[in-house]
Amino acid sequence: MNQSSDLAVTDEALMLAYAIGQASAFDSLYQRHKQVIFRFFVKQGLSIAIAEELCHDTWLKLIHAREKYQPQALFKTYLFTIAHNTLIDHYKKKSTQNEENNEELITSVATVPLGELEQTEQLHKKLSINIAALPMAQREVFLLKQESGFSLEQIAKITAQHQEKVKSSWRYALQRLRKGLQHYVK
Amino acid sequence: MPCNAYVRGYNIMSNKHRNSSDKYNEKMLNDKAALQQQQSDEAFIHALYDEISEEHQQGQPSEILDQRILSAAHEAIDPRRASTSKPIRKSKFTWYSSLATAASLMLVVSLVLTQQGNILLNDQSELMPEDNVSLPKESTEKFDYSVLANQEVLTEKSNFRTKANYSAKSKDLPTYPKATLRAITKEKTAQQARYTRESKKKSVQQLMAAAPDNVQFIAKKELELKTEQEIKVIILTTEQFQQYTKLNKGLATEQQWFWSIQSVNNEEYIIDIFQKNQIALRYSLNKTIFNIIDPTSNNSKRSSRTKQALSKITILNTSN
Repeated sequence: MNQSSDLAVTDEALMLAYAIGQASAFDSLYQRHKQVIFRFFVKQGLSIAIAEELCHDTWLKLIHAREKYQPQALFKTYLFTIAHNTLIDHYKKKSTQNEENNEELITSVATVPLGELEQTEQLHKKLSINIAALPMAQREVFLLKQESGFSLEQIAKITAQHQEKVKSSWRYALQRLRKGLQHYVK
Repeated sequence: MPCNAYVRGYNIMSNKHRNSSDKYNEKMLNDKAALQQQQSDEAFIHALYDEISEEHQQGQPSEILDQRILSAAHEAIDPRRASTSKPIRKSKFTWYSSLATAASLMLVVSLVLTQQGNILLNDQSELMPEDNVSLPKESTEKFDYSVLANQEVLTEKSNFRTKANYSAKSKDLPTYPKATLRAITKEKTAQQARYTRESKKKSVQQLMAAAPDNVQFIAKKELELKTEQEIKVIILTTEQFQQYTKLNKGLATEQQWFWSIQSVNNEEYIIDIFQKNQIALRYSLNKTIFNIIDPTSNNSKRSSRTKQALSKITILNTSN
């Protein structure tokens, strides 16, 4: 399967092909989505090692659930639902540890002298700090909408929440981030 | 009045309506403001993301993670990979487990068979104490002849054991009924006991014939203990007594026959007649035929053999 034909084939078709035993279909799916999944975990304020571990768990769950996949929803929604559940499981197991990690990340990034960094780099660091400082529900909604491109309706499906709650989470996340970053934007 | 009331009521109603519409308008204005605020915030975030270069936004999982995930995906699908990994482990496990089971069974069976073959020998060997004569350290150098004697005994014993072992291990033995097997066991035990007694006597006699005093003493003690239980009582006739008396006349004092009292009752005297370093013979002397002068004088020293001269025994009635 070459690259041009890869683009023509939808995610859902690739997943179905993988479910019936075409291993190369999974390679294409992985190449398409590995980055967004990885960034979704990294932006949660987790360390790279934990983000990779959660990535691994997410993809393994997808592999094991290949035969149960129904192409009624978008593959990306299905994948991020698995990622969301993996993240929730992780927080349940290590809730206190996670908070410590967040605090560590925030403090470690904050201690970097921002004046010595380039402006865009500074902005990126500050953004990461502020995203990591968001409450979990707001952070997840923000990342799914802003970085992964889901609609609020899709996010409601992924996170199994009411759509109004997702809307309010999104609004509050925006307000918090603006409040924290307004000094860095011209 | 009704007109005024109507006007008042209208005013109240209109006020209520005005209040609710105001609230609605206020809410709408708030929603609008919130929406505008949200749009403004979204624009701010978009602008922020626009400022951050693509380089900072990108993040890649490591190649090792890629390989792990892809290999897991291929293993889940490819039956050949699955068949090359798991069944090998299973077959290895089966091979080792079956070997271990077979080895255990072999061991158990061989132990049981060996144990069955050795049951008789083990029982008999308990009746065969090691006949090593314990000696004082000083006399060990002078004890070569006794060692030789013991070696003979041990050689005979080993022959006996070999025979017993052979008979126990022979294939005919397990086919015997239990009663027969028990009878054989008893017979062999009795044989062994007899053999032990005889060989012991033989070895002790040899020792007594040639050993120095200390060895003789030890052997004598042992002999006394054994003979006390084993000697049969013989009824002494007058002829036998006269023969002993005749023999004594031709012997030196040390080599003469003596006697010692063992017990006395209304009908008989029980005495041991013995020569130096020889096994005693136990005799019953009928009181109607023999008389012993002061027989009870030795009772207190019955355990130690006290020499008494044959002359102390007199014949009352020679007709028997």
